[in-house]
Amino acid sequence: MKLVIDSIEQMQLLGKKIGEQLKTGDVVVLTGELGSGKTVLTQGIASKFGFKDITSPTFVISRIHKGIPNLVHIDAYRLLELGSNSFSDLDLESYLSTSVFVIEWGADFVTTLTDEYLEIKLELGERDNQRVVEILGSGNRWAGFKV
Amino acid sequence: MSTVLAIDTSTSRTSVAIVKNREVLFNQFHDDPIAHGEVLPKLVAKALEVESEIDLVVIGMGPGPFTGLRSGIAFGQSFALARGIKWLGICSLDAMAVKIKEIDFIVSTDARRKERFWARYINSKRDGQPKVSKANEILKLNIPIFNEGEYYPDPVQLVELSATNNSILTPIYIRKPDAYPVPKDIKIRAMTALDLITVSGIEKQVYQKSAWSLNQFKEEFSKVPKSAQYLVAELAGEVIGYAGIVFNIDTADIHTLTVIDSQRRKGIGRELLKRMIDLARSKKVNAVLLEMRLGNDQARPLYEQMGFIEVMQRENYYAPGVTAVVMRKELM
Amino acid sequence: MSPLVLGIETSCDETAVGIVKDRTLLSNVISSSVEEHVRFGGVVPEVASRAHLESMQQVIKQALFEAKVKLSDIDAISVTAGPGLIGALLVGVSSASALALALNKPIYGVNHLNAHIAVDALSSDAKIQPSIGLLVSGGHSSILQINNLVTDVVVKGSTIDDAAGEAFDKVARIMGLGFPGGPLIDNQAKLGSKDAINFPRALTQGNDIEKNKYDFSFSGLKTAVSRYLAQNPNFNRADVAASFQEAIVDVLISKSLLACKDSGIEDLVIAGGVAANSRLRELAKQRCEVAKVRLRIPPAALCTDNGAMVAALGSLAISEGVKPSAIGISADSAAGVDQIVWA
Repeated sequence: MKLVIDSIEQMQLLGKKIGEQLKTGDVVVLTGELGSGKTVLTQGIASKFGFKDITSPTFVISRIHKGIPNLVHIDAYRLLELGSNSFSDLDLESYLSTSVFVIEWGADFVTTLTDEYLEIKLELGERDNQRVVEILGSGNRWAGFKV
Repeated sequence: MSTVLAIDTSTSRTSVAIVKNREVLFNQFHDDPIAHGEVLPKLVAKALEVESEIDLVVIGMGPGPFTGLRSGIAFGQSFALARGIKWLGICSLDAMAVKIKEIDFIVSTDARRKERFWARYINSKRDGQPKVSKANEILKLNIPIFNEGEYYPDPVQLVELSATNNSILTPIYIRKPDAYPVPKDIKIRAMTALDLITVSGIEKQVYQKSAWSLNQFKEEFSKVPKSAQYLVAELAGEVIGYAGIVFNIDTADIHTLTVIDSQRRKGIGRELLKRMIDLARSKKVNAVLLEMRLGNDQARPLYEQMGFIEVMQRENYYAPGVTAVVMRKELM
Repeated sequence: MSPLVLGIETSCDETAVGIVKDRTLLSNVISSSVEEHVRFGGVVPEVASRAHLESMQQVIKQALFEAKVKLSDIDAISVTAGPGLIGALLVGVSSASALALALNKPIYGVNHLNAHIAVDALSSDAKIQPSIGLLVSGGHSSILQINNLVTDVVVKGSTIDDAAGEAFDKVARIMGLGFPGGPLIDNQAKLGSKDAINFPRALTQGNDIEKNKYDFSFSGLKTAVSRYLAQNPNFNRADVAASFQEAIVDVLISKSLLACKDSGIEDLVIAGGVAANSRLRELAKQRCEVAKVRLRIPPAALCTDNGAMVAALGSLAISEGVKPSAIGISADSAAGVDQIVWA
């Protein structure tokens, strides 16, 4: 499904609505160029679980926000140009059964974790704050997913 | 004669033992796949209350998930350093296998994603190196399998093994297969003259104003195979990508690497690039060069991953006002 | 009492150990993965995660050697327990816990962010509290009120999206400069004009000042630069670097000084990797002089991740009488700056 978002607040609201449907063990992949709103969307998703201090984890690569479930926020940007095993070396699979994963730039790596994930593609729209959001599900878990 | 502290964190279990002259003074464990870092020091603290004089540290070196394994190894090595004593490393699967009374069996632990770390033991000796495989592959061997859950690496057995086995000095990290396999239905073959029109159409779609014309393609193609090679990637009989490389005396230039929008991020570009590099190697040139437009963020990570470094920028290269970035990969 | 403290830092890319005696730095060893792999445009976590494990013993030994002390001389171990990359943190925490148990000495699990500020204690004469703190690194950008560096630090504002250091890295990449972005942009900028392009200073106007007075936002700046480059293909690298850098540094300092003014605190300490930036240091000095605010910035070499800062925080904790951490420290990749010493 495709949506047009017109503001940061709307993006966060979209995130919250997505968050409402997430369960422990779910993996969400965010794809989009720098500035397309991946971190803002993640903030929205995280707010549903009560996490407020979500900032871009590009530098540190992953941040685990402890809770029930945990929120594992990964930015695989720095891994894109590295060896294909760089993602599995983070050994974050151990957290799958207790967490919700949100992986920015994760499209290349997600299949090392799971075959069932929600992919959200973000693109810049025509106007400044506008973004075009496409939501695709991979696997049975996400069949019929709607926001 | 010897008091040994043994540690294993290669599975979801963290275990600690102290064995003094073959007498087990302490042997405790805690099961939690993500808590090795916290649990291990607590167990060792308890163990040291029972016996604090340690002569040797023995560490289970895996195979196992990295995070847990790292905790045990970092801990064991540092403990040994601080006490001025030696440490020895033992394969954790071996410590699982010792107590099993079968002639031919497999020991296996969780490698996640339905994969298992495993090793085979025949007449109490390990047959080859530990491996990682899909669970159903191991079942096909039709040999009794003893799994993590019923069995765990026993630190007391680590101590036993340390008396006879050679020390393993580095963690047993086993690589899982490449995370970037090319999609199965993709075929890569040499471009033919019949492809030129299709390829030219894709070119226009992808590059728009900077696209090569059909004539430019024809001209490029005429250099094949003497001083150039062009490949296409096909999906169900349809061309969805292509790449071309031109050979000079000392270097080779990748002139194009293109995949249609809908087939991006599936490893096709990477595969085409690999083939280009292989072609360059076969011509024994020193380096491969390529150019891309400045700001082409999408392709850059791929090139950098394959070992390309930016070497210069050419202004007004593609068109007036458009800067090209030149990247180079050394082959020698 | 003049405790000899060994500090271990492994929160991200560096494996580092530093040894201090009270407030005196005895050694500071950093095993960085950056140099080996800079050609790939970034640190190689695959090797770095192994590298932490492989380097740890060597770095500990080297630090002891340079400090001319033995492990048996050490009075306490201090280690970064968060925030950071969990796998990396665990190597440091596990090593530190082992040292502490083996030596039967206390261990302090400490916060990486507060350690950045604590390193200042190694070069400042007095313990100046309260201070306003500006903490700027690859992963963090915050304005703090430091009532007591070891027990009472309050966040007044922070970034709502990208950290300053991260903005440097990303923009350097967009410009084709390489990694790490900070030093590369710093150098380029010296050749260019900071006033050439007026890049946006986010959260400094109107409504934003009300809602996000002490907060930062650098994501928009990053897209502004990206857009500028796309529209101006013949861009002057040095000018873009200088103007972008100015936009960041300008906001960092003006908000810090605003916090000083509003709180009546006349002391400002700037710390973190970005504090090594030459323009930040220069502009901070100038503006603090005008504003009559006393400025402290650690030497550039101590601003980036290192073990000395961790040892310094441990040493301060000891002099404040803070209880050591219980054995079995739980590394926390998302620890907040208000969690200074682990219980």
